[in-house]
Amino acid sequence: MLLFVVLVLQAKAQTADSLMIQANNAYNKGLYDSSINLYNKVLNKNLESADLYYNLGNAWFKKGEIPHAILYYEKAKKLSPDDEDINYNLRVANSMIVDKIETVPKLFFQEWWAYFYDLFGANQWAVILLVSWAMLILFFGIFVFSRSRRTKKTGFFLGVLFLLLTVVSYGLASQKYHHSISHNEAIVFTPTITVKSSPTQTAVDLFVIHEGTKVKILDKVDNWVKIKISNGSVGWVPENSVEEI
Amino acid sequence: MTNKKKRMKLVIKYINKFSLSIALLLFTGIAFAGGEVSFTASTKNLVEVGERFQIYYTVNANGSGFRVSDFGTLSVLSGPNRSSSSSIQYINGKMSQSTELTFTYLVMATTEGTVNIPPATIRVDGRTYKSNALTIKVVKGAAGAANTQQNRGQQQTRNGSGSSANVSVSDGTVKNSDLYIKALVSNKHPYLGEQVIVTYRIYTKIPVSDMSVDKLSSFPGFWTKDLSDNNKKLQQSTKIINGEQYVVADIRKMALYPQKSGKLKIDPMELQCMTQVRTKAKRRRSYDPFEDFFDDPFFNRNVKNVKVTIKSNALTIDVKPLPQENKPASFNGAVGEFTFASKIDRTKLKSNEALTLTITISGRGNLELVEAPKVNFPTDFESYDPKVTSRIRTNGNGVNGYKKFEYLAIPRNPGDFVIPATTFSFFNPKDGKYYSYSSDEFKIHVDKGNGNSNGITYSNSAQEDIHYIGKDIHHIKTGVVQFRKMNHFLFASTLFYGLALLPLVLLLIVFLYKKQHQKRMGNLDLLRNKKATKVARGRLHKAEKLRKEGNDKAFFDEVAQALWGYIADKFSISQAELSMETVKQKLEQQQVDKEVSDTFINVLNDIEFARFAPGDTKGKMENIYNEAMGAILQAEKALKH
Repeated sequence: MLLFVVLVLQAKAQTADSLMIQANNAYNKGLYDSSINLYNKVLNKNLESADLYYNLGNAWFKKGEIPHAILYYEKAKKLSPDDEDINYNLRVANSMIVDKIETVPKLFFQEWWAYFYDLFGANQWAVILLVSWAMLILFFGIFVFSRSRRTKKTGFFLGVLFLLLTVVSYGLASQKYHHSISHNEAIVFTPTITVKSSPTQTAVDLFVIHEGTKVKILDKVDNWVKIKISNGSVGWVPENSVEEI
Repeated sequence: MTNKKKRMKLVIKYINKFSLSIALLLFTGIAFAGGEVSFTASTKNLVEVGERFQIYYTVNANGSGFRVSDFGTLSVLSGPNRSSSSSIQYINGKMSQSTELTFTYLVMATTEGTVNIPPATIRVDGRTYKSNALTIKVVKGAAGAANTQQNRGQQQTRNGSGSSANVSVSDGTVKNSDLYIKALVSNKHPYLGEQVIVTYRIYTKIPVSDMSVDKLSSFPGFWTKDLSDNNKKLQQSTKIINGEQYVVADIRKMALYPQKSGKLKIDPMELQCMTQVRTKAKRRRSYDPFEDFFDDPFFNRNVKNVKVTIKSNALTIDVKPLPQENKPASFNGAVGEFTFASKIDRTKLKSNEALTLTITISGRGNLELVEAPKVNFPTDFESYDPKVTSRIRTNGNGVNGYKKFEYLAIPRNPGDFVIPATTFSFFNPKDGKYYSYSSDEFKIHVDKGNGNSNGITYSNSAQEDIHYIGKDIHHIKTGVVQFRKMNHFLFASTLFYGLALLPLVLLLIVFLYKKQHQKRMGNLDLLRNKKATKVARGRLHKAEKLRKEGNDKAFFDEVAQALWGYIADKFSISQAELSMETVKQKLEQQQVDKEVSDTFINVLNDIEFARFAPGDTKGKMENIYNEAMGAILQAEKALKH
């Protein structure tokens, strides 16, 4: 039974690998449409990876579909936030969209938090949390059971250090986790969209955004979503005009 | 010939007589106020070749028989135009009158040099007066077309005011069929960028003395090149149209290159012509016997200058876009028939030396719009914008010639380089196909240059910045991909909680084990403690036995063993840790009386002494046995409390 499961998983992974190779070959030949199809086939297997999203974003970029490219780069960044290639291509793609929105400046500790936040993905932070938790327990044990004063001292300080690390990594891991499971960010896919003051067609026009812009999703009512752009402006757009990351 | 001269004399006589009689009729009894007759000629002193200007002859009396014998190389465009003004003044009851008569010639300077115009003559009251002679210097035109155009315009207005009466009188006499202009086009359906020649052709039955363009056609959407030569005289020819003879001349020829596709309109050209129309003096017809003479064109007294504005037809040109299929990537708008050649002056050189790549494009078409083909020099080469020399000839068939691009490049570092092939392509409208020419690929070998040239290249620093040539996204990742299930997270999963609990569980296990171990260890000590006296007594009994056997050495060992063992068992210390000091310390810790502990230490000392100091031992042995027994009993008692 167990053997069977392992075999099935292996078979699944193998076809995904071969699909990836085919898709990469198509990309190298400039056949971006077929490479996009093949990458999507892998996604349909309910499998994902930062590289896959990154390559898919590249294919869309080469096709000239910047909003799609940004969507997949963002998805890749979610899984692997510190990847140089992903960040570079996302920057390039973002420099090609219409809207240039000034981000609200962050306080220094927010920036530090954001720096650590982007250092690892959700699972990596979870692993760090577990390791640091185990270390904390270990040094606590050493502190409690040791007879020698020096060993006790060392155990105490290292224990305090790992306690801090545990608290920080718990915060980051849980934030990452909640950010990952909730699809609260989206990319605008409609070439031009007027943001309304309330979720009806007759509401007052507030401002206009264009395709490729990243927005935060705050709320959903019927077929409308409440969005927030990075400069802090808030408004409502039809749900089908944006694609969740 | 003689007949003509005679006739002319006769005519002049007649005119003189005629005008004289009118003058007499008008001015009988009125004396001339000035008395003195002045007759002056005036004009500009310095003119340019091709300039049109006026010469004025002014006389302050009513004269007749005005004559200018010779204008030299100046060509007379119109004149003499006669105009007169008179004023009558009453001063102190006396009437005085002054008259001014002006004859104007419009002339054009044709050749460089000095023109001497001899004095003109006029007759006033039967006497002949002479004007001053004129000297006009004609210089080469330097100001250019714009200036002459302006001059022409000015003269036109002056001329117009002088002869406005004429126009109003005989406007109707120039018919449309007498004089018209046609715009002819060589190709009404050209391709984008294909050369189209537009010719403005004038058809006339009547003499035209002066033409000036009133309104030039505008050519929106075209790049234009004027093919007509301004300095050349118009080439005239005669043509029979509908049985009538016309003089035909091409007044302007333009090569047009459409710059956008679709229907392009060319506005009509407006031309102002000074025509000479013969008028028939109807009044005189009834009594004039010399009518036949005046009908002769030679006598231009009856010829009037009429200013006429004529308009050409408007043109519509339907420009076809260039075909999109098979359009080469290097195509940049060259339309026509061209040849392409490229050449490099050397392929082996030292660094910091220059090389020149020459590209020549020749043929016919929109050559002036041909842009320099892009030569992709290696990035390490310092390259400059090409020097462009062109020889472009225009003739009636359009534009042809060649254009030469010289690219200068300086390799800054030694090495082997390749200048890739340069491609030039053009569209041939004749067969509607694109043609591409490629130059050769040039392999350049650059040797290390002279040492002193390094100083020139790297004047600031020996390092160069990296030159970024293009910008693109990074390539896809092609390594082995680690897939994972979508929306599968470690955090908050069962595994996560399991792993988080694991160290706690381990800690608990360690804690419990330690506790158990301690408990066991504690029990052992208690046992030792309880058995301590028993063990000690056993040893003492054994010692007693040994004494009786006479084994002194073994006796002392056993007694010492009994005492040390007792302490070790009592306080659960190992044999190695045992010393007098620790014993003292342990007993004090247990708050044993100083007396008891001193006794115990003394006994131990005695035993140790006796063990290593042999001698009279018999009495001592009995003594030590009792002391040891007493010390253990005392200690046992003391420790119980």
